[in-house]
Amino acid sequence: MHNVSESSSSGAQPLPENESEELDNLASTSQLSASTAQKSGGTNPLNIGFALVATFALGLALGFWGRPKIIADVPLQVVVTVVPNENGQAVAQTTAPITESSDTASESRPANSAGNNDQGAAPANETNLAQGTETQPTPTIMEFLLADARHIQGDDAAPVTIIEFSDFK
Amino acid sequence: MSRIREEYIDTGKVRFVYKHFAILGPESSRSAEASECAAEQYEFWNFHDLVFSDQATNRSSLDQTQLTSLAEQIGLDSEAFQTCLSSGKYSLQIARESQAIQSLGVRGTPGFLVNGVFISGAQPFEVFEQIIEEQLTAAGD
Repeated sequence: MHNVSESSSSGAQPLPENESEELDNLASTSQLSASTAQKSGGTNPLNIGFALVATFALGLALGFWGRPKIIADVPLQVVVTVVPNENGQAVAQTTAPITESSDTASESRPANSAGNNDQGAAPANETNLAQGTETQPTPTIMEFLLADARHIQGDDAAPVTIIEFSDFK
Repeated sequence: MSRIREEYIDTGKVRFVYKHFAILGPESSRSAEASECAAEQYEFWNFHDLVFSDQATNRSSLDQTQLTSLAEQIGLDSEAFQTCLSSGKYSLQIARESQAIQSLGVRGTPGFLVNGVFISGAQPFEVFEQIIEEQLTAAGD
């Protein structure tokens, strides 16, 4: 078995001539590298400080100019507030625009035996919100509720819409 | 509901939309899920009418057996209905829909919006008739 202590104690013995030359070359190369690094400023504390300050300033600039653009492009959530309008009707106000619902989705659904456009079996990717074509800054509460309505009966062009929200119990 | 359907929905004057507002516990959620399972077989409205009729007359418990019985009464495929109901695949959707309505400030059930005019609770036909007629007049019909 190899004895580690024997191996380490061999460091006190004189090296062969060729190995000594290699060590000299290695030492001179290291000195050259250190000298080059110092000249280029890589280890200069002033330069490190300058780099940190520059990075900090760059971060501030990016935050100042970039953050408003990111917030404007990506609304984090929609808060709906219901307020009465001048006619006493409930109107939904949102912090972000909601896409206009597309009533044409119901026309593509097969009518059931009672002639109703029941969209209950529609896949999730057929929701009207996904088919929005234009934005409305202040949709009414009706539009908000109709945006993803699936159970509809009657004529889509009817002048009056009743929305029932109910519990079967 | 039947009079509203006869006089307004079937005549093209009114469009009627149902939204789940299941806030009365697990039984109401399960009933709403059952209605979605009925909708898979294009019988949502028949199931809707039958459940409310049953609640008005018998007030029976809406457990899975009763829901399946109601589904059979309107000719649904019982096995497919039970499989759908047991899967619970509509529970999250119904919870979200109910939460969205709750976020609008609605607290009681049933509730109705007639062109934005709110009606709270189960009201007689005449209440609906008056508001519908007002809205039809406003719309120039």
